[in-house]
Formats: sequence, C-alpha cells, structure tokens
Amino acid sequence: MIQHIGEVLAVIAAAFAVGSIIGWIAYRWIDRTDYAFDQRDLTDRIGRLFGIRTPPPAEEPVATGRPAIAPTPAAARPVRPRPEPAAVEPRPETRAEPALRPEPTRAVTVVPIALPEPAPEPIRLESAAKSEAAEDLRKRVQSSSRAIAWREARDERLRPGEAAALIAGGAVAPVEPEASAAERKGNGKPPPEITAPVPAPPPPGRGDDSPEHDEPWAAATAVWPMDLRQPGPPEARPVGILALPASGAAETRRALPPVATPPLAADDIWSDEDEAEASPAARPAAPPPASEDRPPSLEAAPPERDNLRRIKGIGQGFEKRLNQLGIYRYAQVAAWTAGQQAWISAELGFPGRVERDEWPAQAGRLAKGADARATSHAEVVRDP
Amino acid sequence: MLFVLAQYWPYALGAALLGVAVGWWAASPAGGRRRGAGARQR
Repeated sequence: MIQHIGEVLAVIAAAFAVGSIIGWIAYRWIDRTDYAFDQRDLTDRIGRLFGIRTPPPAEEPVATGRPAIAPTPAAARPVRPRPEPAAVEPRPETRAEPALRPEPTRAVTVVPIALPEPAPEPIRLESAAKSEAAEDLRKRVQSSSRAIAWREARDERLRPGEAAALIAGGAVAPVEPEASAAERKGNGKPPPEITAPVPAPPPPGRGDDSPEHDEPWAAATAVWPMDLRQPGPPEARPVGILALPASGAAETRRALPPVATPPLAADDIWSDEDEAEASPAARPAAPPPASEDRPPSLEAAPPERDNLRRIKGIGQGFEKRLNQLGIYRYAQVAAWTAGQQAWISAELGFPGRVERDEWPAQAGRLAKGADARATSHAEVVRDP
Repeated sequence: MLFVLAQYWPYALGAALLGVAVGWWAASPAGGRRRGAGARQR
C-alpha cells in the first residue's frame, strides 16, 4: 500500500467526489423544493474565498415598519470626537425607538418610507392538486350535511376563506386536466380563483367587534356536531345545521344550494346514553360473577405477600389480576379445587391455563420452600 | 490505477459511501444551502 499510496489516495478522493455529487443529486431529487436562488449569496461566498468583501447591494432599504436612517457618506460626516456616553440612561420608551431619536452630534438624514397598505389577496387555491381536493370536497358538501363538511374542511386544512366559499356553494374555477398539467409546469397562468360570493361586510349598525365580522366561519365552528348534546328539549337542540353569520352574509345565504337535509330521527341524535352504551370504558367494571367455584379471596393485601410470579405461567398481568381477585399467597393457590381452577382460568381469559401449568402444584411446592421450576411438570415431561 | 482499484476497492467504496453521505448532508438545508447572506431574506 505504501508504494501505491498516491494511487490509493487518488482513487479514494475520486470516489469521495463522485459520491458527493451523487449524494447531492439524490437529495435534490428527493427534496425538489424550488428554493430561491440568490446570486448575491453565491457572489458573497466566492468572494469570501479570495478575501474580497462583497459590497452591499444598492437596493432600497428594508422596510421594517419604522423610518430608517440613511447614514451620510464619511466625507460629509463632521469630524468630531465622539462624546462621552451620557450617564443618564434614556427612558425605556425612548430606548424602544432608537431610530426616531438620532444622536444630535451626527448628521443624519431621516428618510421616511411610506409603507403601502398590503392589498388583500384574493382567495385562491395554490395548486391544481389543492383545487382538485377542493372540487371533491365541494361535491361532498353538496351531498352531505354541512356540519360534516365543515369538519372535513377543517381536516383538509383549507383556509377558512376557501372553506367558507366552498360551503357557501361557490364554484371553483374548473380546471381541465391539460390546463392543470400546464399549471404545474408554471406557464404563467394564475392559479384558479374561487368565484364564490364573498360575505359582504356587516351593516354599519353592527359593531366591528362582532365575531361574525372578522371570522364568518367562527359562528359555524361554534356549533360543532359534538356540541349537539346540549341540555334541553330535543326540539331546541341545533341538529347539524351550519350556523351562518346572522348578518352580513345575505349573498352567501342566497347563494346556498338547497341541501336536502332529512329530519333527524330520535335515534340519530347521539346522546349520553348512546355513548354510555358504545364505549366499554364508560361502563362500570363488572364484578366477577359470584359462583360457588370462586376461590376464597383475601379482602386486603396481607402484610407479606408471596411472589406469585415465581409460579411458571404467571407473569406481571396475571399477578395483577390475581391480586385484584384477592389472591396473594401460595397457600391460596395451592388450595384451589378443580372447579376453582377452571373459574380462575376463565376469569383470566385463558381457559385451561391454570390446569395446564399446574399452578396449585407449583404453589404447593413454593409454599414448602422449594423451587417451582426445578420440579415443574413441564421439565419433568421434557427431560425425563 | 486498475491494479490499485482491484486491490483497494473497499476503501474506494467506503469513500464513495462517505461522499454520498456528505453530499446528501451538504444539499440538505442543514448543510448550509440556506445559510449565508441571502438566507436571512428568504
């Protein structure tokens, strides 16, 4: 290897380089996120290799929401010794806005930036796949209850505006398959917009702080199907009807397609009694059936209890169940009759387990101080 | 070179696998593709 060290290192380096390229391509193939390419970042990296400091780009200052300070050039800056820092700490409210209070000894130019008001973005679906999902959802909306559709809209992770428009019966702009395919390639066509009627703003008489004004869907989510179980007479319960905002959605109400919602029968209403019947956990733990075969149990745990898990066939779960049945000692197990063994096996859910593993015999040996495993039935049979 | 490759190909294979791992990491966002001057504005 020593005489070929050059070639070996060259081969290793070449393999590493090829592997790196393959790994890079593999990751980019899997994660095909279209990250924004920043030419300035690349220039900065290359410049740093050669110790060249990349000049900052001549772009407009970043809008940070407050007036920015454009420093004057160094030549125009008055040459003046820097004053001693003031001993008095500025007040907190002035410290919070340092840009608004420049130092008086510096010549600065305050360039106020008029921040444009952000234009409200139209409700639109971001991708063709999402619009397909929305179309499917719209079909389901028209054929099912609206409350269910609301839940589905929540699960589909549509934006509330989209869900509201869909449930209001608004039509998503139909996207042909070829158009959607071209859309994925990004030929510049804008994504399809929802032409649903947007709920009109509330009348001026109503305060803007009403939840219906800010979030028209809030009232709908307030009446969730899970909230149908309310005290009161059944006729007073809201049954599966989407609660639209009481005001400000006149167009939305008019645009609602007629949804044939069959009246709910009494059995359709999920009540507390139904839940009590359905969930086994809600049922109270039934006591073990009183039988003459039930072995005698101890009411409370004795001060010293035997390790029932030394009996072959008893694990942690069986030990816990036996303790719940009031069985703690070897003597108790050893005294089981055949009927009691069958009862215990049935109670544990494994009929025949006690008889097969001979728990009473093992317990009898353990009670005498012997080892259950050494003389267990299974070992005797297997190794005569 | 072929003699070296025939004798020391396990080393080359190991280096290639290591290179794949390094390339994978470097292409990932954790590997610095999104760091740098421009990353703060993305």
